[in-house]
Amino acid sequence: MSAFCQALRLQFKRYQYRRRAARALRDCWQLSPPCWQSPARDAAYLAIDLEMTSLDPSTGEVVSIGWVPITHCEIDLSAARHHLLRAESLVGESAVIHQLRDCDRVGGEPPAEVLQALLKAASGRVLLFHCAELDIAFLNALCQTHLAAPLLLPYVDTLQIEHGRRERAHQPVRNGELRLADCREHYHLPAYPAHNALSDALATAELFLAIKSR
Amino acid sequence: MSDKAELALVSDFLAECLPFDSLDPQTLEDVARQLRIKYVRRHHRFSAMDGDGLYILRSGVVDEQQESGLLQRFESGESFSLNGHSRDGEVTQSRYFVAIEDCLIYRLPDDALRSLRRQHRHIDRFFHARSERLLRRAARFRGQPSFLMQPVTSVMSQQPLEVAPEASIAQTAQAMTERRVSSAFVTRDETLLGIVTDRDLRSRVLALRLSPDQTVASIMTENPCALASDATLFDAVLEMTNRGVHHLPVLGEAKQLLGVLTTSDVNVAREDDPIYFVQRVSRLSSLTALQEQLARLPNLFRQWVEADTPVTQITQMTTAVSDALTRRLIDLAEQSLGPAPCDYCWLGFGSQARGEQLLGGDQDNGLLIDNAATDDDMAWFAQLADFVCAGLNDCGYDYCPGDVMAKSEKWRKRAADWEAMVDGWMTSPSASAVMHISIFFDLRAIAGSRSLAEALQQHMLAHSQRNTIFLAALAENVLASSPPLSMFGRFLLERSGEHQHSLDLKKRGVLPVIELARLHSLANGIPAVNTHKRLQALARAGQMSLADSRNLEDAFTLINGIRLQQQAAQIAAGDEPDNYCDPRQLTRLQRSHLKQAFRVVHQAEDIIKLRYRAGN
Repeated sequence: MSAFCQALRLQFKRYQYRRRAARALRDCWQLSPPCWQSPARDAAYLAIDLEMTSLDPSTGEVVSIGWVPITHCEIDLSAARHHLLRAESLVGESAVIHQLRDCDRVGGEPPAEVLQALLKAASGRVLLFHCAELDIAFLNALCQTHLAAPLLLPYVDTLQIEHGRRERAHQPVRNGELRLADCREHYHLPAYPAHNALSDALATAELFLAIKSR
Repeated sequence: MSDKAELALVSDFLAECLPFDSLDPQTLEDVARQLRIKYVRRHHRFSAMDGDGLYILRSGVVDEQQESGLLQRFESGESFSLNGHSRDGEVTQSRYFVAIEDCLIYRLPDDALRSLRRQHRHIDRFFHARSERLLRRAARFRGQPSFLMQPVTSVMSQQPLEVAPEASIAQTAQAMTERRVSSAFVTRDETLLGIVTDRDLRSRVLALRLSPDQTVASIMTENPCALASDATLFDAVLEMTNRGVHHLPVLGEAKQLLGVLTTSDVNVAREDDPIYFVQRVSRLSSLTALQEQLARLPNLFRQWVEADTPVTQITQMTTAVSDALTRRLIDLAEQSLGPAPCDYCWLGFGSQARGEQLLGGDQDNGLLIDNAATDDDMAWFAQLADFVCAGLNDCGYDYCPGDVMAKSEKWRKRAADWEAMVDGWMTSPSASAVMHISIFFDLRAIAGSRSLAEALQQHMLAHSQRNTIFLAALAENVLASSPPLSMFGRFLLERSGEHQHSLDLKKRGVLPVIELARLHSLANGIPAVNTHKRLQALARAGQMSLADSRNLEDAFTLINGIRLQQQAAQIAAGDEPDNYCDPRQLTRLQRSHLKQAFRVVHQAEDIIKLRYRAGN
């Protein structure tokens, strides 16, 4: 989807939800950067990653969220955050992947509070994901529950960017070849242990800087 | 809510970088929190526009250059600054930095760096090596045992100037001038009565217009503060700063004068700090200078041993020195031969690869060259290998008698040829193949492209793991160098030759553990190379019980420790360090420890017999 279409869709949706949406969310919309064209060269970004209990937003839950901002083409670790969310149901199978057990999540924070913190960190920034679709779906569901509207913030997706870049260069892309770790290797970035929300967000942010340097 | 070590990814990396390695985990996390991360593309030239502060290379390579050429090269884990925090404080306008590979860089902004330097003296010291206020800082600094924990006796000047109390001031001053010393000790019958320094001659004689014919006893400082012979350099520095003195006599048990320690002795001792040693090796630009520097290694080694530095740290430091030397020689070769025609990797084998080097070792190395290399390119690499191997030989790492060196054609190949050779060894494990394998499987990238070495190692691991014939042959080899204990638990000594009646600690003590760890690691596909790391990984993988793994680690450390002490004593006596020890010269405690260590190794070997030996 072109930046213009994405912007048009966001504006329309925001208009639909303008009365229902919680105050914090509307404030965030107000401050969100103009999204009628591709973001400016030194736009501010917030790289986000979520770990969840399943791949389906209607049954799954967000276990943890990590984010780290990019300002003036630099990742700022002082504002890097990692939040565990309090469970609303049992963690289930994917706990094996993320090494979080139900007992760990008892100490987690209420999702509504984490959302507030996220909106604060995101204000004035373009969101950044690797494979945005899934994370956006879960964030929308969370927002819907706690803020009465979907997130509706502009975002970029390193997977999409890389996919587009390879297509333009006529390099065939095989299935599953654009996983975060593989993309990073392509740009000579160090290997990181996967499946921690913050380290994946950081890994995505670094990948984004690498892609942008080309 | 937040985890304690959220940024473990970053702080764990910092923990392996100078000078951050000495910080505690909490401080490291705080430092990580203040970092900015940037990505710099290959060929990018840095300028002040890129931001202030300290640049720590997370990955990639950066060259510092000057119009006249390469100044130095920075690799992952090393740091530099665009605006002057260079370690010796020189700021040259004409130097600049260029990314040689794509780089991921951690930037610690200036204000964060400044506050870190304020809070941690040794970090400040790292960036300001030649500061005059060194003493005061050093006194507060306890982080590195290697420098301040050594005994004063290994640093002091021996044979201080002694004068009788009846001697005149003029005679004393003449004697001081002749001996070119700044202090004289007034003694009678070997008992120290007082001290006279240059400053005393100025303030107590000249300034008061005292006659130089008076006795020296009339102007000396009586009962000067002194150090006992077992005091450490740390005690000395503390005493000097607290009392504002620059000369400290060192007294023996009977209060007799053994020597004198001055502030300049302390400075010289600091020069021997391993960090500075390694740093200097990587900056020297001629073979003669490198040779001179490396000639100082044995004494330095002795100081580390005497300062009770842990064994693993000492072997790590000696390995760091040989790594730095190898890299430096490669740089020098490239300066005269031109840049490498294609990717390559300089491999270290054996103890260098394991990070377990001691003194008196031979060089074991090889060159792994990209498959794309043409025959002309191979000629370039032959020249490189000749230069580096000869340089190592000149600096005290003797040519390998078995010719396992990059300068021999057998150990200088393209990646595909290496793999073919390894496959050959494994399908028909002759005695010599097993020997080669045991050298070769302990392999580490010293310089050049790390990924080439990793690919080769992966290839080897993948092929060795399921190869039972090969593992059985290797097991046979392990059992051949069994520890020297008889059935009755007595030491079996070498029967003949130059080292008759002595124990070969390397062959009989250290090697069996190394080989045990290697065999188990190969059988289980564990890529670690360092013996401690292998044993730990085996315990983690459940292939060895935790108790067995720890016992072997302890045995290894203990045998190596005795080996180190032997070598230090040999150096002190002016002999060439070797690996033989006469058990009668050991203390009873050492003997019983050593026996116990050997027993642990024996037991571990029994497991090997059951597990890998064919038809047993």
